[in-house]
Amino acid sequence: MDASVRLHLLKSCISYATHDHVRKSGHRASMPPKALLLTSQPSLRNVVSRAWRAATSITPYQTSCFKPNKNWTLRSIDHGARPYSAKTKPTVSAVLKNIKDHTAENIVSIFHSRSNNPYHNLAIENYLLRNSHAQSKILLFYTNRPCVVIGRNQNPWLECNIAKIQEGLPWNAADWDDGVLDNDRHVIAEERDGYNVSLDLVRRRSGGGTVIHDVGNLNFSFIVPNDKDFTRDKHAELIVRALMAPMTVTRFRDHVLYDNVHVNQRHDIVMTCANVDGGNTQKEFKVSGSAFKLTRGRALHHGTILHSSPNINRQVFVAGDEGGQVAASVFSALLSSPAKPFLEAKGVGSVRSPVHNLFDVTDQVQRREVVRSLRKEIGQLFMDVNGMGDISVEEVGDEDCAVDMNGEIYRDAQELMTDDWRFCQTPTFEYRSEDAGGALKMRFQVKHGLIQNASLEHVELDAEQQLKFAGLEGKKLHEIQSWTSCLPPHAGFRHAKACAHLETVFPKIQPAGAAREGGAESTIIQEADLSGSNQDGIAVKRKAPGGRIELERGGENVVVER
Amino acid sequence: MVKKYTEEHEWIEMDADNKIGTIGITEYASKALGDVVYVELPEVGLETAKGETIGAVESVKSASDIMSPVTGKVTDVNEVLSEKPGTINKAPEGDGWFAKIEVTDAAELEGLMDKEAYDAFEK
Repeated sequence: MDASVRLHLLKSCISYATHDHVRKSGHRASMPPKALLLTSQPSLRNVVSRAWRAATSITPYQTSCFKPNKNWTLRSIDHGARPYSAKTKPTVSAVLKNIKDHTAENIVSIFHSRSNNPYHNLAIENYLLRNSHAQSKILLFYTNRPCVVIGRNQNPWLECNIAKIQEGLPWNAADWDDGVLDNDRHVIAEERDGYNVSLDLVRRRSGGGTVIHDVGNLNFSFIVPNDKDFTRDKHAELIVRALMAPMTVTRFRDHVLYDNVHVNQRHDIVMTCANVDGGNTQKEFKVSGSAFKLTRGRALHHGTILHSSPNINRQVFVAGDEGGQVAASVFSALLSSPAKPFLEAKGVGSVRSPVHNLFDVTDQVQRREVVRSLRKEIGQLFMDVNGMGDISVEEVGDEDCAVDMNGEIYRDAQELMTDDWRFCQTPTFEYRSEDAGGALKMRFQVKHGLIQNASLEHVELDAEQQLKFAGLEGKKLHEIQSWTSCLPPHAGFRHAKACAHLETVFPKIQPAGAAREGGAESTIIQEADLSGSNQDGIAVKRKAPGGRIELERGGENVVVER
Repeated sequence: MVKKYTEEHEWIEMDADNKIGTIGITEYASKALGDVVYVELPEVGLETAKGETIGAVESVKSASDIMSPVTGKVTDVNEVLSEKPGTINKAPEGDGWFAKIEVTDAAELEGLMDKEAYDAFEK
């Protein structure tokens, strides 16, 4: 990189940090400001890192610096939070590339993904399922950035509130942990009051129902032979043992919210607790949901562990039944579908259960402690039950999903992000607005995402012409940008009311992984804005109003804060 | 008529001409999977190779792939399963059949297990 550009970027990092600190003094800052430090020279990086910390008065473990390595894949440098196993290797791409040999030599192995990108984590998981040695036993951990994950055969229109997911949640830096910086190229490092960050809507490959993921949720994934030893409860029981282990219960005794945990009939883990909400009655809450994928003699059992979601007690405003806005919990707002009364669907519905955090932990450092402890406890039990000794953990991450690292993982992640996967894989369903405020009586079917067999009452046309009249011929439901420009006015119904209804029920879809800053439109900037930036193969892609700059080098996106 | 079984717990029964094979999942598999709630059928006309995924069933939160026991072309699918996926549990080796495949090379069947071998196969 051109030296002047590098210095320019570093200077702006420091001045931004200082300025930001002053601006925030006296302001509740749940997390110190962060930035991406961009240099290939370790000595220079250290100087900047020190200056940075002095300027922002933050302790080393709170800092996350990132350096592009020589191939410009990003790698995190974590000053305080050391990996929990000394055997962890810094670069593991080779392990995934040679996964068959690796899992043949290490018949029991544990992986920890540093990525918080749900598409990457699911792709890594699927790769392990399909490419590991047939007899190997694998445990993978990951935590996703806030997202809503539906089951393989579910209907996103029916399972969640897509508009709310896209509108997102008010930004709070602590919700993203440090992981956001090293894993997510769309770095949003500062607390952004007034900004929303939209969530990912993800379809996984396993069965089951819809779950919400965030930083307070640890995902486990067991990949084992699908033989007579495998049962749907086997690994859930192992999680229960880890949660009830003296190590867990006594270490976090001031924060443990459960009296007991057990596996229920649905293969979920529930906790019982006495004095929740100040009451005296014993209550049961779901804390972990399971789903399975069985293929070619292998079984994948993955699930969530809701240890300390910051969203569980948060509320947001949603449209009330009688107009206006009412407060609702974040979880129920994200999962209540406005389309539900109008849809009749095949496929798999979710079973709603009350959920609860396992631990009363709101502090980021403590949350990380809980996660590390759970991973260690579960990992050790997994080794124990398989007659193995000490844990050795391989770290994987976004770098393993690069096209030139593991093409199969890359392509799988790309597929998960397509609307063909997210929407067209929805089992056939029918829309019926018998009762849409008298605006329009309309029906249509959606098969593989494609709208078929529309019929509009009061519009006297042949069956096949109705689809054309409604502007829906050959249209995929998720591709409709505007119902107003689709559906023509007609004397038979109130056009504005009908369109307003349809836009509520089937909102416009954002592409997966779209920039997640609600309302903050990025603007293209000219290369001249950063003189010399096109040297050394660097291209400025865009600059957001907040000062975020995206650079591209060798196909890799690199993001710089101001 | 020839009926064979795979290690993936699928069966294939050839018609009298030994050309079209009807495939499905075995009694054992249907019990192991539990209540089937959704079946993903292949498209008619799909050309598939032995061991390729041609569909899936979901039961008790498990998505299970169905692999084609032979190379060939899908000529028919059991639409009943779209409406009543539970038919797979009621009669996995009867009304709960999955698809019909025009078999490219009948010799492929010789590599599969007969009933006796499948019953003895460790599950």
